[in-house]
Amino acid sequence: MGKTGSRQFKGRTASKNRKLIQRTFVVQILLTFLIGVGLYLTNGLVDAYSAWLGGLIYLLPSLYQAKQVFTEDDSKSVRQILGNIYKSEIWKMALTMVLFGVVFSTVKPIEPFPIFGVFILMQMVAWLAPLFSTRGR
Amino acid sequence: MEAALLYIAGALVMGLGATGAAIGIGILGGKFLEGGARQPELIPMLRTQFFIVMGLVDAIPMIGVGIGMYIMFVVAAG
Repeated sequence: MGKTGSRQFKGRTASKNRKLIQRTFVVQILLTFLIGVGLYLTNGLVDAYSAWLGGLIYLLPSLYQAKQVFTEDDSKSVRQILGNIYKSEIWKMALTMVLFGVVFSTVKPIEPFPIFGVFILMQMVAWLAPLFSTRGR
Repeated sequence: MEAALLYIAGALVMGLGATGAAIGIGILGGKFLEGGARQPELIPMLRTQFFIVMGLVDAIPMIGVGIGMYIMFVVAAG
């Protein structure tokens, strides 16, 4: 593969990858919203905002990490890219801890099951990310 | 005494989960370096795969962090 061909291949792959991650986030946001609405209609407001907070605690650090990872220049060395991914992972963990701490210490009353239920569900949707791939369409 | 034990339990949940994630992500990073060094044109694809698998590896510690925080801020405090 020549230099120009390699650059075009990299560009196409990067664009596909961004779309895949964007689709996953859209599915997660929609799912959080719908579960919150469903819980509001069946169990009340406390369950609904607990579910929304669970989704938000997952989504904010993940969006930050995705922005850090995917806005990076492809021409950087593998080592630099890896260092950046590790940094973003540390910040993601720290942000998640802070958000959980803030929610549990300030929001009262709160229901643990909707928070953890939606948080775990968001993680599971991320595992299914390859299914949202546009490849072959 | 009971509150102290609860704090220790929360810390253990977070710490042990983080240890597992550290090992997993370390191995993942090593493989990413190898793959990127062998075929630099595949770096964008490898990066996406890395991102997805990293989400898989750090899911359990993240849930552990949440449960640990719940133990510390709600169960132990309340």
